[in-house]
Parts: sequence; structure tokens; C-alpha cells
Amino acid sequence: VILDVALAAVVAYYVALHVVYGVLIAIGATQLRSYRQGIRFGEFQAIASSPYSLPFSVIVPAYNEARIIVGTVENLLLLRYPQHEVVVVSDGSTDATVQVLIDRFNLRRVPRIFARRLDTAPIRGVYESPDVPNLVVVDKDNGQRADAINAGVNVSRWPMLCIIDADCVLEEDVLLHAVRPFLRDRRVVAAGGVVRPANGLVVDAGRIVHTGVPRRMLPLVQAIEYLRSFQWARLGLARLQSMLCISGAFMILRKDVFVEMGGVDPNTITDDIEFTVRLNRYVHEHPGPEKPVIRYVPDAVCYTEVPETHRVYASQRNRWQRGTLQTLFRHWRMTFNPRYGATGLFGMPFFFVFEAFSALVEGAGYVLIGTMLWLGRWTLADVGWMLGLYVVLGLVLSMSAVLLQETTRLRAERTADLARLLAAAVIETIGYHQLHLVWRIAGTFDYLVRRRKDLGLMERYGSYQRSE
Amino acid sequence: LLHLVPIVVLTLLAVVIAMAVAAIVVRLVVDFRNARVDRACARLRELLHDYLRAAISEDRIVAELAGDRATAREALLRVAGELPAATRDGFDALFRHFGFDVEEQQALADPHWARRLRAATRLGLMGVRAAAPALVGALNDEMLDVRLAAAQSLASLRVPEAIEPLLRALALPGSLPLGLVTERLVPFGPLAVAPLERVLQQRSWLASPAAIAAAAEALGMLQASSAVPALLPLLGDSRAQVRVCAVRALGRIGGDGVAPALRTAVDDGEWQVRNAAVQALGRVRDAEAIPLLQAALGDGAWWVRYNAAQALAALGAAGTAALVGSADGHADRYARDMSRYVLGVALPRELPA
Repeated sequence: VILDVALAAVVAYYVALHVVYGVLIAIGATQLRSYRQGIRFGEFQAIASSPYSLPFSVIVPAYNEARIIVGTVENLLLLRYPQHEVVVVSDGSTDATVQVLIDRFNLRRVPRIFARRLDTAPIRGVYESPDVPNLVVVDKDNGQRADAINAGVNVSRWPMLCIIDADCVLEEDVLLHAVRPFLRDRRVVAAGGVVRPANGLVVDAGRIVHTGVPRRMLPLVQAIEYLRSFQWARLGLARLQSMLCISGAFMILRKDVFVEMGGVDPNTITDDIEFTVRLNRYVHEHPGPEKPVIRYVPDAVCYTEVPETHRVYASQRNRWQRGTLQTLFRHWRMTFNPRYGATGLFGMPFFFVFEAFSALVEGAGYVLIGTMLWLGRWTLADVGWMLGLYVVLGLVLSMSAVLLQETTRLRAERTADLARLLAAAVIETIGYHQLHLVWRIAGTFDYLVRRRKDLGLMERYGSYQRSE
Repeated sequence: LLHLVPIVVLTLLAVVIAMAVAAIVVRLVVDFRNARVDRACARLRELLHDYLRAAISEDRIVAELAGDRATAREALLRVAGELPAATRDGFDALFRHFGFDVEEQQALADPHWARRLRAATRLGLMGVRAAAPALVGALNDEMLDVRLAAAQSLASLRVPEAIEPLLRALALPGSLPLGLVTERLVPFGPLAVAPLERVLQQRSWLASPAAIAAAAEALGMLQASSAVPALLPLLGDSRAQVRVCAVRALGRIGGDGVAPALRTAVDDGEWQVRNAAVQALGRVRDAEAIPLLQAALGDGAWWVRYNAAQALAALGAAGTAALVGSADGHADRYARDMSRYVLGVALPRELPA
């Protein structure tokens, strides 16, 4: 009887998870529709040529990125925007990260003056170039990614921040799209954008030539995962004031708010999740007619490398899982707290139940099904149908995400790419998804039992830097 | 319950397959439609050159596009959007022939905001001047986007009577960022100068600082030298926003008699005004302002110091010499730092930084 109840609970949970995600994607679809309808003809063209477009500082924290950093900076300097600067912060790199930039862009050390509004590790030097006036390179002692971001913000000049990873490739128009909500509504304090896997991209001298899908299987199934849980569900979450993770790979926000909040916290496992939750907190602690707003921009696109090997993939997901748990425990007071509006009543519980512990419950489901088989209470056919239910529910979500994407300008470039995505959607639910579960359960174990706080292993491939 | 599972699984499987098929179908349909519009656009572009020179008649193009109304509209709008507003004369006849302009004017009253927005945008592309009254009406729409689109369309139609209603509708206190208002005014070009000057002189019906600031800003962007007499009194306005815009506008317009007024603004109590003033002095290359700019290097606000240094760097040899002098001899430590920094970035690399 206990087994039956447990199993029923797990299945109910699993169905609920997928229904909620389905609803989020549906809300995302309606949001996408009204977003697209609201764009006036020539609007982005006007932003591109307007002297009133808020100037941007693009902050790029970099630790030992000598292999890829020049390509990243070339891409960022090509962004179409009236005024933006690129601030690269070398976080005490032990390789030639700073030197390759000095050589490529003819940088020299300048006595740049700035206010240290955020506390960071000491800065060794600031470099600028007479040839490229909107590039600043900061060399500092090693801290954390968050520490490097804070240092970059200290040095930065403009009122808008765009924080990205060193391995990101941005679309040429991305800032024009990203700034639009800020220009229209001064209550907007932060926005997240679309993050897609860069593996499969073809980039020539900083310019995106083709946006193919990843060639190898592991990045390809991650493309499906990004599409399903990050891209469209997040649009729905943003509508419900419950977007609790703006990816650190692409975060847009106002500098005054960033500084007021004290910047990103270096003592975290995933600084982006922690920062976003704190940002939501900030929003609700400033009520009134000028209550700040967080938006999601469904057509500002950033491409970032996803792991190509299982070792790195496992380490990344393990870290995300630990970071999620750490953030949730740190801000647990927001949960079911009406003071935090929809974020407290829906966002945080959603995060707890369907993000943090979904891996454990799902894993328990597989164990229970196995037990039923072992005890002989279920036949093989029963088990098969049950597993089929697991798989097909995931498939519905993946397919609806692919379908939704096909109606946008972000659709697969070639028909063959669409076919690969559809195939990957199927493959992802059988095998890869379960593997992902294992890494996340390991992360839960590492955090709750072993109290592991390090950042784990990360690798860069430069896989997209193929110029033809 | 276990017996229900196979049914659910099979149903969902069917849904999944249907969605996969739909994804492919959506793709094919979109491709097909785009290809059709692309072909129509290509034919249209070929004929356009002759048509705009009046070498061929309207009927020739209409005959080319006849058959599929939706494609014709899409193609005409797309090609119209590729041309600057001033070179679209004659295009309106094509839209009128199909009756598209009437349809869009009706759509301005549609209950759905997205349709009103689309109509307001399209009417600007169509260039049908008869639609101006309807667009002026749309300036009072409840949706901000519709108001903005109507303003943009009125600007491309170049109907000067629209300017006052535009300011009235857009510059309601606090409803819009200043930049957005100015951007609707600038496309009117020289047509806008006289009505804007009137707004500055009368000031009666528009007491809101936002409206005056927007008008001043737009006059500056249009570099209307006739507006200088109307702008100078604004430097004594009690509202900082107005003073900032007046200083900025005078700096953009330049010319005789502007520099002395700008020099007085360097002593303003608000740093935003001082900042605009040092920038403006650099822009009008006022050599007499060098001592003032040197003093501003020691201002309390970073941006004023920075822009004062930039202004000096822009003032040629005398300005650079003053900057080099300040780098060593200025009494204020922050002024010395700023001079050194700006010199370090601005000077050619042979010179010591």
C-alpha cells in the first residue's frame, strides 16, 4: 500500500511538472505573440541611429581565456549600437589572456579613474587603445567570476550593463533588442535574453555567418533542453514575475540598480541564480507606482558554448544543482511570503518543487517502478507503459518548444537542421534526460551531504570559431 | 488507474507526432509565402524606377500585382519601407488604387490594439496625405505604441499641423522619456521649426517642463539657428531639465552670440547643466572658454571633469596645452588625474602619456 501511494504521488508530481511547464510554454507563446505585434516598423533601425539610446557597457569576465577572448572581443566590437564599450576583466588569468588582447588591439596602460563603488580584489592595471576607443581591458588579482564582474562594473562608464561570458557570441542587433524595454518603460531594471548553444555556429571575424544546430549529439540534446526549459518557459515565468534565473551568460540591467544591490556575490556557487533571486527580492522591496520590473526579451539572442564531453556536462549540471539549492536555502524566507507577490507565492515554490527537487522525485519514480517489477506486482508491459508515459510527457514539451520556435525568426536555418532537432527531441527523452537526472541527483548529494562549494570543471572549445 | 496509462500514452504520442508534422508544415508554408512576396517585390523593384520617373503608368504596376491582394499589399509595403519617405511620392496612388489606405484608416478604430498599431504604421508607409486627420486622431489612442506609431507616420507624411497636437499628446507630464518625444519631432525637418518656436514663445498651454524641454531639444537637433532668441531665455528657467535641454540645443546650433550665454551656464548649481555646458563649449570650439574649462576640471562631478577635459582636447593646440598644463599644475588632485587620463588616451602614441 505504501508503495502504491508513493508511486501515485510520484506520477502525480511528474504529470503536474509537465502540465505546469506546458502552461508556462503556452503563456510564453501568447507573450511572444504580443511582443511581436508590438514592434513598430523600423523601430530597431530608429534605436540604432538614435542619440537617446541608453549607452551600454558590455562586461566580459575572463579567466584563462587566451584561446577565445580575441574572437569574443571582435564580435562585441561589431555590435550595432550608437554607443557601447566593451570591458574585459581578466580575473588574475595565469595564461596570456591579457597579452593576446594587448597584441591584437594595440592596448596600452592608462591611468583610468573610476569610483570603487563595489568592493573587489585589487586591480593591477587598466588598458585602453587609441585605435579602438570603446575597448577597456582590466587586469586584476584573482577573485571569482562575480568579483571580476563587480570590478568591470566599477570601471565601466555607461548606465546600462550587459554581462556575458567570455565564450559568448552575440547577434549583431542584440543590444538594440535588449534595450527596447528600458527605453519604453523606465521602471524596467533588468532583462534576460535568449541563450542558445553556440556549438554549430559559424563565425567569421566576429560575425555570425550561419546559425546551424550543433553537430555532436550531446550539445544537440542540450539545444533541445535550452529551447524547452530556458527559452519559452522563461518567457512564461517572466510574465508571472517568477523568472528566478537570468542566465549569467546574458544579463542586461541598469547599473544604478546593480550598484545599489551591492553587485553580484562572489561567495556563491552560481552567482547568476543568486543574483536574480536577490533582484526579485529588490523588486518587491520597492513597492509603489515606480515598482521595478524585470523583463524577458524573446528576440535578443546570445550564443554560448555548451559542454561537448560528458565529464564537463556532468560537472556543469552538478554545479547548477548545487547553486540552485544554495540560493533557495539562502532566500527561503521568500517562499509563500505574500510580501513578495507572485514571486513568493508561485516563483519560489515552483523553484523549490519543480527545479531543485525534481531530480530526486523523478529518480525515486524510476526506483519505485523497478521495485514494482521486482516484487512481481507489475508485468513488464505495465512497466513499459509507465516508462512510455514518462517519455511521452517530456516529448510533448520538447515538440511544442520546437514548434513554437519554428514560427519565429530564430527557426532552424535549414530544413535538415529542423529534422535534426526533431530527432534530438526524441533522443533526448530516452537516455540523455535520465543521465541528466543522475548528475543532478549527484549535485544534490554533493551539496546536502558533502557540503561541496567549489565551481567544478569547465572547458572551452572554441568550437564555433571556424571561419570559412 | 494503470489501465488508463496506455490510452494516455497513445493519445500524447499522437499529439507529439501531430506537432512534429505541424513544425514541418509551418516551415513550408512560411517559406512558400515568403517566396511569393519576394517574387512580387522583385518585379515591383524592376518597374519602380520607371514608375517614379513617370515613364510608365500606375496601371502597368497594378496589372503586375493583380490577382493576389494579400501579396500585393505585403510587397508594396515592403518596397515602400525600403525607400526613404521623401522619395516615395507617387507610391500613394498604388495603395489608393487597391483601397488599402481606406482599410487601414478603418482599422485605426479596431478594438484590438495590435491592429490599430499596424494600421498607424502602415499609413505612414503608404504616404496617403488624406489619412492625416485620422492619424492625428490616433494620437489620442489609449495605447502608447499606437500614439508613437501615429506620430512617426505623421512625421513621414510631413504634415506640419500635426506638431502641436503631437506635443500635446506625447508630452503629457511624465508619460514618456524625453528622447522618444524628440525623436518624433525631428523627422518633420525644417517644417517643425516654426511651430516649435511658437511653443517656446507662448508657453501658455504647455506649462509642463517635459514639453518645453522636448521642443528645445528638437530645435537643437534640427540646428535651427532662428531659434536662438527663443532658446536663450530658457537658460534662466527654474527647472534644471529645461536648462539642460536649452544648453544642449544652443551647443548644437552654435553660431555667434551663443558662446557667452553658454559660459554663464558653467557655473550652474546642477551638475547636469554644467556637464551639458562644458560639452557645448567644446562643440562650438569657444577658445575664450579655456580658463573656464580648466577650472571645470576640478568639478565635483566625474562627468563634468571628464567632459571638460574632452572639450579642451577638442579645442586644438591651445586646449591641449591647457590640458598638459593642468596635468602637472592644477591645484586639484582629481583635475590632474583627469587631465592625465584624457591625455593618455587621446594623444598619439609617440608622446609620453
